[in-house]
Amino acid sequence: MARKKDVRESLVSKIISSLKAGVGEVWKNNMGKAGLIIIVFIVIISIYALATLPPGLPDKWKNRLAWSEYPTSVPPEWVRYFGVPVAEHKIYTDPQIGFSGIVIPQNIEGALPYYTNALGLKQTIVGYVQVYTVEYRLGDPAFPTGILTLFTPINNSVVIVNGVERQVQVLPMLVVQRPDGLSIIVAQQSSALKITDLAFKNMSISADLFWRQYVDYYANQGITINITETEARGLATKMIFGTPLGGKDFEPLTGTYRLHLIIVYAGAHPNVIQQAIAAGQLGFENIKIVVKGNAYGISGTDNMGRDLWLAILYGFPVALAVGLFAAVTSVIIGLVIGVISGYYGGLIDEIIQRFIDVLSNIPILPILILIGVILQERPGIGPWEKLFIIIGFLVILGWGGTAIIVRSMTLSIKAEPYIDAAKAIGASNARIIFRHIIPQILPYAMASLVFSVPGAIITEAGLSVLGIEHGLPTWGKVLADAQANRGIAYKMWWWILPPGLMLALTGLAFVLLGLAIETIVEPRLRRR
Amino acid sequence: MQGDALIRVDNLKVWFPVRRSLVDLLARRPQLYVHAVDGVSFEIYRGETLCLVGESGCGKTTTARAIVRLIDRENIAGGRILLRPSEDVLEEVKRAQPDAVAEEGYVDMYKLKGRALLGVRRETQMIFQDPFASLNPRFRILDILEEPLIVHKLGNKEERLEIVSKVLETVKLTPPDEFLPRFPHQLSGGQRQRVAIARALVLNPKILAADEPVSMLDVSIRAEVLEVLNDLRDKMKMAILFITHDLALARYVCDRIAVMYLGKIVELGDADEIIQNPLHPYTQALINAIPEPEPENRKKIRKLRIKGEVTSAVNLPRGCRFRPRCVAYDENPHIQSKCEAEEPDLIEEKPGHYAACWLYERKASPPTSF
Repeated sequence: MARKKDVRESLVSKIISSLKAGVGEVWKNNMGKAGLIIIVFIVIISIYALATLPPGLPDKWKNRLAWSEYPTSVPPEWVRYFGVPVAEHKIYTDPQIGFSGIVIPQNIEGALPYYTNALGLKQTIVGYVQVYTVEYRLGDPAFPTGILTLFTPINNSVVIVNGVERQVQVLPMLVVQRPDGLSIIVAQQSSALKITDLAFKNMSISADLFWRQYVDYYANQGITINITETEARGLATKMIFGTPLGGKDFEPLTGTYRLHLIIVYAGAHPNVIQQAIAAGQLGFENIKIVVKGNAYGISGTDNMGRDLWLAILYGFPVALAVGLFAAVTSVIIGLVIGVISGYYGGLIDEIIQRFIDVLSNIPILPILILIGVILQERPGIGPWEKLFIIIGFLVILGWGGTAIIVRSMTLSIKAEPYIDAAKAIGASNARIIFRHIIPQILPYAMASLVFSVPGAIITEAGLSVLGIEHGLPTWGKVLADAQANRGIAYKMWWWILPPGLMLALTGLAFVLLGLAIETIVEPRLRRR
Repeated sequence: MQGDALIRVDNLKVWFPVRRSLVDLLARRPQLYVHAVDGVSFEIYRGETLCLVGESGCGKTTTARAIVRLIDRENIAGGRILLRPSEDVLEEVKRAQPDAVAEEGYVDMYKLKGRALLGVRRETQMIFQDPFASLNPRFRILDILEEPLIVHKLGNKEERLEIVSKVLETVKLTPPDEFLPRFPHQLSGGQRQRVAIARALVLNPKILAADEPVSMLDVSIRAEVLEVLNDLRDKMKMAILFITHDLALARYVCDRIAVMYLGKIVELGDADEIIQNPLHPYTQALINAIPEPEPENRKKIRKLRIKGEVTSAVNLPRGCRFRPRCVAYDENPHIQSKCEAEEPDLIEEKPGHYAACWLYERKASPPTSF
């Protein structure tokens, strides 16, 4: 027993030392060094991605509503360093209450009129009011792409007054106070609603609210704005964050904007509401005011507002998993079957070789498309399972080439006299295969493994583009989405280039490593 | 002496099937065979070297491979190889596989399988022609020499190291510690061949088949390898089957010489006797072809008493297989009908000197008649 352990340990240390020697050899080669550096980089990013990305990302990626807080179709933020003016993307979570109090007709000179007057609004507000105020600084001459307000009502809509339940209604609105003094109601819930009936949990800007006021305001200053109410809907953010140049043109107005979220409560006596709010029985939580920039994050967003950087990050571990799994399994299968075929020969060899002939003549693409369709019909299968079923078919249809080459190598090694010598001393077939033949083939198998990694990754991406989807946000999936929206995607380089470059980089790394291994395996390829 | 033969080859036939094409199969053409070895009989005694001499393709290497059982059983078309193992191996075979035990303490090589075969493999080893190819380039010398011991589960690590070191000393690779960690490519040809011999000796065999062990070596280092082999024969009383195409070398190394032609032994006898007094026309031609050491005589153009090319081993001629190349056949019209009709047997022309040729009348029964 002790002896066995001894042998095994020495085998492990042998493998480790030969691996070390192999890495050392590769490191001496410039191509190998470059390849290794990139691969280490890819591995580090993959680990980082697995550690930091939210586990629900694949589901979130498919859910259109989950990306409403993000600007759509915007480039990455760092375009600013290339001279592109950038309106910052800003999310204000749980803003401070700037004012809260009771505004009643008798008290019209009170606090709220201060607001309404200061804002220049011609609205009369009566009741209990909360005002949340945030400041947005527009530094570059650029237009933000939208404003969104989100809030969750506390799940209660009644107050009890003298033992009688009274429904409380709310009226939220968003007012933008511009650096030039103009105040605009940009969003408003059109009629007062029961709090819990709030069909919305977010509120977007609506040009209908301010179009008339805006046009009139500038008409008074002698600037004619030649846009209809319908056209204004498409130009809303430009109107809010810009000054008209006449016609349909706007110029961004830089400076500090103040955004006021005003919530008016009605339906009961303001004092009662105030008490209920103070007791935490009424009101809103998770209030967010989002000013959507015209650039986002490291890699921009796509047409659904999805942060492409997340997909790029997610793509690293998936690409590694796909590439290594496909390469390792197909090379191992090819190695084992090739050695068996070459070593035993005869009928076994004939059967295996004819089987490979059949296998390698099966067209992969139609079969995979079929598999893809079948998988799409089965909602019960998770995205990772789908991915590995697809990869599994790639492996099943793809080991033949390795097996054929390994077989021919085995045939030539089998004819070496040292194999005869091993037979003459009585070495078993297993011993001859594992001690004499496989170590000779292993360097080739390693090179072939490393070379087939990029193939598998790119095939996976290609299948995604062809619509054979597994649902994971991979590089291929991003490219497939871009392909589906090619009408707009061709203008959005940040949608197409990064995943393409990542695919190329990963492929390059493994090819460089493979070339380096090849020069070690086949010294005749060395240039010096 | 007769009973002391360590190995007896009895009418051995090794035929390799010629691969048939689909057309051949469909046309039901008969399966053709390469008659690599076609009825060979000889014995090797303890402490004796028998040389098997012949030109390329005559089946000498196949014969050597057959006696260490490197030929697949299905290619043995006939005959037996009987081997006398040591007592304990014989006991092992008797226990494991009684049906492989032949008469008089011999075992039938090609009936053995499994454990019994593994045991007998300890008794018979082979040295290969090319010392550059017969050592695994990825193995250190220690790995190469230790492998037989590991396969046969002999000794623990220290004991194996000791055996290996001792064997290296036997083949005069000293000090062993200097050679053990090296790889084959770090050794010279002569050293490699001695490592190959050491590998064959690690299991302490009694029969050694040496397949042209010095033909790939420089002339300058042949002597040291041959000396090691002669020592093994004399000191360890091994039976050595020495394959060579070089009659001059055979005379230096061997006790007896067997001359092979196209899968058959055509002449067999003491080394000196065969060199000095060859009987068979083929042997005569071979001896005729030995380069002349005397510079004076070199200038003379010698006429070789042989014609034509080696006949195919697939379609053998009827009658004597040497007939198409035989000059004696042309010169002796009175035996021509016999030469064409029937193959000559090996007959004892002089005591211990056999030849297979119709030039010699049958005086006694063939030497191997079991």
